[in-house]
Amino acid sequence: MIALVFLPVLGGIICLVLKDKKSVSSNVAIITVFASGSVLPFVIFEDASIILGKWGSLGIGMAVDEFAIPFLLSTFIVMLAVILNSIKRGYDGFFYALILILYGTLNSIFLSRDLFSIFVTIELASIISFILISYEKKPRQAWASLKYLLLSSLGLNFYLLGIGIVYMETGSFAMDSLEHVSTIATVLIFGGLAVKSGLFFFSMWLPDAHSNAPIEVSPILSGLIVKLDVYLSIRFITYSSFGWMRDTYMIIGIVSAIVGVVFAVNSKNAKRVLAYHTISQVGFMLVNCDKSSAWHGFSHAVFKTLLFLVVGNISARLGTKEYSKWSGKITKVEYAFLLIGSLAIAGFPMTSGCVTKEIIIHGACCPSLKILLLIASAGTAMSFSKFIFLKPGKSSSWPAANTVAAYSILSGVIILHGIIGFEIYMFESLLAVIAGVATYLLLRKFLRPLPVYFERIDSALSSYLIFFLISIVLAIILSS
Amino acid sequence: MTGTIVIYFSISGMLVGTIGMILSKDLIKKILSFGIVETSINLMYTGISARSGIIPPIVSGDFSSAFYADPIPQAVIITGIVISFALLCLSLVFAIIIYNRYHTMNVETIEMIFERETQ
Repeated sequence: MIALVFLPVLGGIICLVLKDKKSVSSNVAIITVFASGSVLPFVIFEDASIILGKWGSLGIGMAVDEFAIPFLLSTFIVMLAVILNSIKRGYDGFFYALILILYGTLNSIFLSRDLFSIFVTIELASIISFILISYEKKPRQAWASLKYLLLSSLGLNFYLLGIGIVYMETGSFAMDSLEHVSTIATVLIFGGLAVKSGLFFFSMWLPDAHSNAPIEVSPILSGLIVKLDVYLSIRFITYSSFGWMRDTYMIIGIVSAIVGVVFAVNSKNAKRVLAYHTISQVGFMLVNCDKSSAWHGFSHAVFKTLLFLVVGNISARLGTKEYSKWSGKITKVEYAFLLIGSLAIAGFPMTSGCVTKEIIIHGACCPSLKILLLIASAGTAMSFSKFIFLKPGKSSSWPAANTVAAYSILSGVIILHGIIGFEIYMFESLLAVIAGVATYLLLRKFLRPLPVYFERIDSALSSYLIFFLISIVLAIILSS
Repeated sequence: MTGTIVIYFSISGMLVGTIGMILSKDLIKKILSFGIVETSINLMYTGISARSGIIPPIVSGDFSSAFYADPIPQAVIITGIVISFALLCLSLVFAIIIYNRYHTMNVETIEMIFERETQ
């Protein structure tokens, strides 16, 4: 289990030492990812737990269970695809070192059972992602990164306050001590992590950061960094002190799922469309916080990586992120992969998105919630009709071999997962897809970009703090 | 006693820093307010460890009766101090990149420039 954390970090250090030899570092990165991937089966099927250090309950506990497995798998697949796509693009060893250390850090978060260790690793992952977002040193990227830094670090300070209260009450940082803690500690932990979750109103830094990041970094942000809060919420909600969180997440999740879609439908910038859909999909995941959301996190990481890579490569080649200017210029191969990704996120049968999303909609507690989720699902299909109705050009040339390899691994996972998990009741998702596409054809003349008022730094900060206060009030009402 | 006073003092410092982050329009002032938040939370952990006493936890002989400080929060927050230092440095680097391009530190002006560039 330790190898899963230390192998990537070791590879990262080797890349850092061999910084100037560009061809070597990409090979080291691929070998390291494959090596850590080969350790993965031993960890998953073992179901083990260990405690580092000889201090009993004060040591750092690590364990693997059914909640962690989807996230560990998605980390491996996303990192493999991203590194395959980045070969021959002229990235130096420093970039690969950051990506590999991030891989080790993420594995450590998904295995850890210690609250303070989680804080340190989340901060490390955040610092690496700040550097990666502004890797090309454009002022716009620096601004997006700074906005993200100020908001997320403020949130993590609230988390630190929360675990300080946990330590005062129980005398330990182990995760099991969360069983009997006061409500104020749980609400501080929830509110602190919510800033990284990608829920609407809590993390409005997200569209700017995700849409301005380099091609290889957006998939990591959207597929993995956002999942940290989803994973921790799923884990924390099993403790009885966090019982109030289930109802809160149901309300915030459904609002986020619908509002994210509304912003995405109206956007004209392809990368911003994908960024707003991250907000919406996180809402889907958190509506019922259990094992099905963990698997939706897995499938979301895979198809969102495919979409971000295809869209990033197309916009880098054509020089524009506006999808309306792509018509007739994209090749047939690119269109095929774009279609697979779009159908998966819209929930077309026989794709992974359909399987996991239908389990969530089917498991919703009440009929009204189910209808709202179906509306959000139709909205997703409506917004991705923009990509489905693009016209591919005459050219049938293939992209570079490494890019095609990355695309095919991701599409293979999407289709395999879709066929294995398919059950007959899932055909109801076809209804939402057809309704969404029809609505798009009716309304496509009226779509205009919505104002970005919420994404300014002051309004992002104040909306986060206001909703944090509201959730404190909700927690006190619900837990009394 | 000392511990409790320090804890309340640091929580109020955190609130002051958060309000400063919202109200100031200058980028450097925002970053400095954020520094206040971080320092307060680091101070709070010293407060937590001082609840049982303020003698340094290097006790020789019989330590069951001595009022020594709890070493665990002090030990873990050292990592927190390093992280907050790194975050402050990184945010100032981003501020320098933005200043070199646009020659202003006013948040509203910077955002207006970005929004105009998009259209």
